[in-house]
Amino acid sequence: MDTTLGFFTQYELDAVVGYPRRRQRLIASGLLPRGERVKAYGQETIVFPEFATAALVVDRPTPQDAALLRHVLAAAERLYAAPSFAAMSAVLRVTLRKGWRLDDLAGALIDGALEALTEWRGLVKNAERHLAHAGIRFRIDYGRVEEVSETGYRVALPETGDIISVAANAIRATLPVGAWVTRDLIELGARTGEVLVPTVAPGLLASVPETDDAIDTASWNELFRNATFEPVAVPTVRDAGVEADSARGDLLRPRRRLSVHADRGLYANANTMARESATHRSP
Amino acid sequence: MTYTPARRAELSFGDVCGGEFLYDVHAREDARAMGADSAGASFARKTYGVDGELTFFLPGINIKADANYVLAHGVHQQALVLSDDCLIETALGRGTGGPTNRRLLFAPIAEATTDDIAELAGSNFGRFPLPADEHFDEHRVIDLRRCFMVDARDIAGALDGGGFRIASLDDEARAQLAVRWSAYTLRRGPFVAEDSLEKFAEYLLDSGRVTNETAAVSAAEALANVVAAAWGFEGRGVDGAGTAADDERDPQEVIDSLLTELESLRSTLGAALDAVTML
Repeated sequence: MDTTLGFFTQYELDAVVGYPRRRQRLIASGLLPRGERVKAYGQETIVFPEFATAALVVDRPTPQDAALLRHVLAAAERLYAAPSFAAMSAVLRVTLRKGWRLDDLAGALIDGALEALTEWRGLVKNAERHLAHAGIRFRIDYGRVEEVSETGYRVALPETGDIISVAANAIRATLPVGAWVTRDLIELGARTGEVLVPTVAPGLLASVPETDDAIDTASWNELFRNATFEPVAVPTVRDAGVEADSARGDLLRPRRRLSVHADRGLYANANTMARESATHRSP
Repeated sequence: MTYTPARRAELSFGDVCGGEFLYDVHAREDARAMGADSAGASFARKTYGVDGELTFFLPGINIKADANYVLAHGVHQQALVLSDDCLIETALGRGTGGPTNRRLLFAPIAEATTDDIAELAGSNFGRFPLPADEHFDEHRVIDLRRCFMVDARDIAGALDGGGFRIASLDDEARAQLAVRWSAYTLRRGPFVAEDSLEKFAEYLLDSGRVTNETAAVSAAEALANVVAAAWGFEGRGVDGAGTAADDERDPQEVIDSLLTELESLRSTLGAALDAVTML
């Protein structure tokens, strides 16, 4: 728990969900917390607390999910409003440069806002403790990708020396061997899942003071005793929102015990809506 | 079923489009006529952080007789052309001097899960599934329930600007979409016939009129085939004859095609008569 940076940016999140537009849709639909933008010199970074991945275990959100996710969104908002985050942002505004990466970002914060970063990481852990009481729990392991195959990754965890297997679909992008990642086991109410998120190399975090672990290992074992973690398929989100996509009020063809099908060959390519003629004039 | 990147030569029924102005605009009870006004660059920069003069719109205020701005609701999405090729050609004024102020019909395209695709394949009149294919790796759904219209002049401008057309459905997908669209708007066609005849087949059994399930289903399918053949006759035969006339093709070619379609219709009609007589 202490070895994680506590946050990631839009680039890491895009690797997890696939691409920027999908990230934006997840945020617009209230699944993902919005990130806090820090702009400077035409550059922009969007910071998300590490627990933002909680939303990624929700494929088709229900009203019950929405209630849980509101806790995540509210926790993120409180973190963005923290004075320590303002101090971090102030440093980033004068250090952001074109082509920066998360390593550069973390390095700049360690050099220029170590105290604020340490405090903010503590707030992130504290928020995770509160989320756990609401039924949103994380177990975040930090490791390095050792092997990549079509079906998954083998990730070495330096803290324990263990090697774990993570399914390929725990992240949309393909990670290279040697990439540093967090493997997030997530419990959101009754939903569980696993996500891989790119993060910084460990050397960077060596100079950051440890934060108080909000929940000890024994507690984690207790929390996760009944959880069977399955890989997460990154959720798909409809721009129109849940209400518009509900089948409520639709004319449906119900599933009946008898099934009747006409021969499709009888009307194949019989389309009065389409014209192949280039010279056709409308009636 | 597949859809391919911008395969057809011109905008057509079943084309997937994307543009800044594609919203599934619809009115709700808060719809109001709106008046336009503008603010100076200084105000715009100070208040909204934007450069340059700002135009803004106010519900119910400063309404001008020559403007038709309305407050409405809508979601920005890619959308699929639902207007038929004939109307598209007329509205865009191809070969007649430029686009008209007619409107073309679109349906928004929403993302979908694998479960959605399986569920919608044969069940929902208003949502047409587009499974992922070799070109597009995501399942999507055409939401016929939320269709909206766009001015042909703006579509013409977007087409000229490039990037508006993203993909075209193949012929098979377009044909199935037309069947679903007819089912949704007119409650007619093969999709509706299958639904109605499933009910009828079950009723035959439940009422005791028929005790053999196979006979009930066979009769229902024979009747559904008549509707399917009629759909084919209208599309390939009758509509094809009109297109051939436009193209001044050989009349004998058209007559041969009509005879083929009529033979198909007679064959399915005969089979249906036999099946229903046996009930």
